[in-house]
Amino acid sequence: MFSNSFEFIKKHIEKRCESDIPLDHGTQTKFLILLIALMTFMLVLISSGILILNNMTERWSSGLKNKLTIEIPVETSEGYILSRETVRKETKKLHEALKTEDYLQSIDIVEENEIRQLISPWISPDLELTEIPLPGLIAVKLQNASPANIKQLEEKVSQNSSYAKLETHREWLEKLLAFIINLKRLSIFITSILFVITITSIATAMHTRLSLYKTEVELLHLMGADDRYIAQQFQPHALIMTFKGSAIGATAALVIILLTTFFSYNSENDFIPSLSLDLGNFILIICCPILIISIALITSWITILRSLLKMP
Amino acid sequence: MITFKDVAYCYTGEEENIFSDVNFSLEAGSYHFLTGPSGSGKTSLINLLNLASLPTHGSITMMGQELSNITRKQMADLRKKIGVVFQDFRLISHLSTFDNVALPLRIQKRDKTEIEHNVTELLEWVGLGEFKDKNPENLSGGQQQRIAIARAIISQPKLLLADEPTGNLDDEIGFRLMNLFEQLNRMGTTIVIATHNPAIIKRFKHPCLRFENATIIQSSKNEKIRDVL
Repeated sequence: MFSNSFEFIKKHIEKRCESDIPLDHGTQTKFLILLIALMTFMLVLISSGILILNNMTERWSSGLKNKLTIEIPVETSEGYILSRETVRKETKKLHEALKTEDYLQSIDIVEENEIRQLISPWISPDLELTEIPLPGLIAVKLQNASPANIKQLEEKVSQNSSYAKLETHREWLEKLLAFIINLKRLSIFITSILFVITITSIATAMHTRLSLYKTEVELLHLMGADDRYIAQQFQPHALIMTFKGSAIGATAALVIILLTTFFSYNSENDFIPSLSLDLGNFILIICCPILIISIALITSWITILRSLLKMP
Repeated sequence: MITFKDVAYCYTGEEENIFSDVNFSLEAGSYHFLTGPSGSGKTSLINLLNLASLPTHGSITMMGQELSNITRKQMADLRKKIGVVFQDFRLISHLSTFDNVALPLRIQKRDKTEIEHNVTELLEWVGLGEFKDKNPENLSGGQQQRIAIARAIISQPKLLLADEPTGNLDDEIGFRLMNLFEQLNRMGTTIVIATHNPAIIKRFKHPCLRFENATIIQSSKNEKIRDVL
């Protein structure tokens, strides 16, 4: 039943796309369909990769916005190990000293259980977590993370504790953002290469078809067909070819994206963040095959018109 | 309608002219046979007349336009007014008989109903009504020639060129088609037919363009037939 329906749709499309130049089902066409499928597949994956990176960066940046951490380390800069009691006292003292500061939106001591949960992925399962010396952590949220406020907080921390360190997360976040920007640049470079390959392949295919059907093209010219009319006769072929290729490539890529998204949701933890895409992202991804089809049609149109201009 | 002035023509890359010093004028509504021995240049002259080639020397004026000075758009518009029956038919094999004949009308963006009506009527007239959905390659040489003729006249061109149009037809159909050309001529179509069929030239008594010593001699209507063959 499905194959009958497919045949019916195929015949209907081909009937709608009838042209004076025959549609070609040769090896070159099949190769080109495969190539366009590959281009679309890679373009969709690259685009969704960029969108996922954007979403992750956005989540991390907004999650850390105005947030800082004060740490009372177990080991001092001179190499002394502080007792658990000292760490607790120092943390509490610092918390008391800071909680009245008006530029702070909130200030909370991170409970030891929470700290154990945070470090658990890095600890061997053989070790007993209760036996490990834990640092003191204070989570601070500023009204506004301006340099002046951060400086004021730094001074206050150093006045009240000789052990405490202020962690602004800025350094590793900047490194992460720089890495992501480089990844995006690489993606844009690869995408540009894909576009060049697509355009070149389509142009070559159209040149070949034009020389293959030179007699028919000359005949159409002699009957008074202008270049636009003849170029239109080649468009159904380009449309069917790129539509088939784009559909195959986009479907394969979407299956991979949906599977990856599904598994990332199910295995979400501190190491693997959720690789989620929203509706807007999916609409953008669906634009990729449309973009490939548009590029193919424009390329074939320009190639044919330029070649026809060289004919009498 | 058409004026050739000092026209010479040679194939691309060759130095020797196929013909030269060709001078003649064809009035609108005239009817001429183009005669001459094989290889004398009849097909090349037809190619110049249907704007498939341009002369290597001299000038051609057609329907008021000098061909060396016209744009591609003007060239396309001019070609729409010319119908050609090629010696090798030049039918498009993947199109049906109907679509081959309808091609000039589609190029001229005529109405679908008009195309359907005119093509069906003409195909009936040339005796190919029952073959309209068949591909030309499944038909005989004579039937293919009739398709080529139907395609050339479907748009009622101002100038009709035919290169040996009756070559593959039996006498009866050949004369029927020549009568059709007569009718078209009476309606104002200018006709040039390249032929070496003496029976046709004898029967239809039209002036000739005769190739002689690599040039054209334009004969009058009253010239004796044996002089032009």
